[in-house]
Amino acid sequence: MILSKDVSIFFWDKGNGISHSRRSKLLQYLWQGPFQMYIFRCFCLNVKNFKSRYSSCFNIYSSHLRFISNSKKHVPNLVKKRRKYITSITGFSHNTKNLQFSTDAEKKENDKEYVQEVGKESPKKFNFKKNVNSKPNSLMWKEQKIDYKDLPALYLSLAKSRLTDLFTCLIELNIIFPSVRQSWNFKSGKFRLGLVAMTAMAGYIMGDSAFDPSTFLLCSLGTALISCSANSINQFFEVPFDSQMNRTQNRVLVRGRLTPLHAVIFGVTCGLSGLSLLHFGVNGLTAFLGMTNLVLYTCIYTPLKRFSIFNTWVGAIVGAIPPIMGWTGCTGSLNVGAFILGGILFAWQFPHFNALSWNLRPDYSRAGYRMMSVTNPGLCRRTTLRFSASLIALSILAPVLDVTTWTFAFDSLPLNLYLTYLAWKFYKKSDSQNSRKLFRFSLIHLPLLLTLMIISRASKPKEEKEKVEL
Amino acid sequence: MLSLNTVNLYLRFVCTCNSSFRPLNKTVIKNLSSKSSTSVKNTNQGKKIDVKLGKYDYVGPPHEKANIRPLIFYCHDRETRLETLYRQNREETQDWNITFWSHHNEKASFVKKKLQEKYANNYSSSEPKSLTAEEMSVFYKSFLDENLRTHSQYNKEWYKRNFKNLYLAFLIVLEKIFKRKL
Repeated sequence: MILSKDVSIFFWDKGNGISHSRRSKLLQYLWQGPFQMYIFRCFCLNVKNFKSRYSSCFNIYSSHLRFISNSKKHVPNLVKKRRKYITSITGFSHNTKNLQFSTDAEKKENDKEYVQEVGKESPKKFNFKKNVNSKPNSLMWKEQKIDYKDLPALYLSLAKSRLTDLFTCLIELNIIFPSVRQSWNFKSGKFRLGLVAMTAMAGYIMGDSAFDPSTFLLCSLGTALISCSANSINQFFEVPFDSQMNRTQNRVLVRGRLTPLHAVIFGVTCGLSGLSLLHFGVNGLTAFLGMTNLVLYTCIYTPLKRFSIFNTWVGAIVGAIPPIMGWTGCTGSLNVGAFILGGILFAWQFPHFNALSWNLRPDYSRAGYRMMSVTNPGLCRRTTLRFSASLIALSILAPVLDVTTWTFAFDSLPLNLYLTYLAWKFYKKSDSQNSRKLFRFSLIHLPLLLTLMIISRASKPKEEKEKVEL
Repeated sequence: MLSLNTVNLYLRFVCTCNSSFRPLNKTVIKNLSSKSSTSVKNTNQGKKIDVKLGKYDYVGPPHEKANIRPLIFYCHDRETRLETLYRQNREETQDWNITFWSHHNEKASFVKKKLQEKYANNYSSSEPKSLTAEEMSVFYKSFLDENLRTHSQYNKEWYKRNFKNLYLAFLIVLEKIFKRKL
């Protein structure tokens, strides 16, 4: 019933540019309640400037009035009786400051429930909805036309590129494709690596066999392409659910920037090209693992998110496979080392994802996703603690099984201990601040752990043979 | 329910399709006459569109309650059978989605408000009206559990419709490439 947002849209069209001007605030207040709207209409009809400037209001207002009349409320004939009611208008003479009207930002500050949920620190981070509505472009009718300049940016966002591609960090640093970066909205200080490609590279470097740069590149590119395709097909499946959540409102298919067929064709071509790269350039086993990863993510994980909390475990497997792919790309077979790498990543997914999902509980429940943080918060806390503690055990197990030297066990202890400390804090008092700390640290923790692992890699058997011969 | 300004716009789009359409199927005729005129009304909530509508599909601002962006579908002269089916399917899915999500979001917000009122009555006026995260999490869990069946039914239906849309769009592309009726 409340049309305050709709009114403000048409005010932007007149060139205001500011979403919360006094005029729009006043009118937002006045829209509340049929009686006040009735007065406003009377007022407008008798003021020439108002009529010319806010002509678009009338259409909304008339339609709204008809809605009221349809809902069995008496609305007298305005044309005849308007002059009588003008004298009773007093609201306009008052100072607008006295009137109580709340914008979205004010509401959120005053809404204790929201503040408790989301946290007082850095409220800007969670104001995704405000971000969408403050841009007039996102609230206007747009034609669904392909603009070839926008395509690379759209494809990257389809692929959730900050997750997949390592070279998007180059874009973020303005080294390549500066136009693409301008189309993105993010703070210049942030630096997010493509996690999936990074884990695959780490897996390759850790592999037992010799390092071949061409297969290394092909392996990483192949995994990146597969994750691109998985993400785009996931977005195709989840259009109505993404539109309900603040975090995902700006996605390509939700906004209608591309047709679903376009996105699916992009996903399929990426997937096929990635798989063929892996099969012909690297290994049959790596290609097979890539295919299983793709199928797991698109056909099992995305529907399962709506039915049971087991999706987190499946998602953890999906995250654990890329380093194994890197390992098999190097060696061509599965070893204990591969499983340790996979195990480390499997364990890492839990503190990472549970911390992330804790702050998004209202959105998840509204959209109908069944996550541990919503349905079983106790289990959520326990699993984060368990798996972050198991990371310590795994990193000690690595040198025992000759995957790394013993320096890794000592290097990684402080990292893992700090992670478990944060998980312990989250376990004891699970609120938004602790979860955010844990999430942020998990983003730093993984690359550091992988670099430490690479540094203290156990020497490969070929290198040992060469040493003996000399 | 619409004002006169808005009706003209919609009629323009409806009339072009009806005038030049050559039906091949009885079911198609039925669908066109009953569905196409009403679907646009429902999704646009009787608002005026400030953009001059050209020969493309238009995506609009998100629906108030349903948060889904409604589309205005362009129907050109000499539309093939597949294209009409595709357009109708998209219109139907859009209507269905919007009705479902508006109803669903009403449920979600209505119960929340009720809870807040319930707890606010116990507090004195000086204390702030708020619900702790734990109480809200209980509500979230109960909401999800209550709606599990509806969600699962919706999911199945959504997947079916989505794949049908995709298949039709794919066939249309093939039709254009090979310039043959499929």
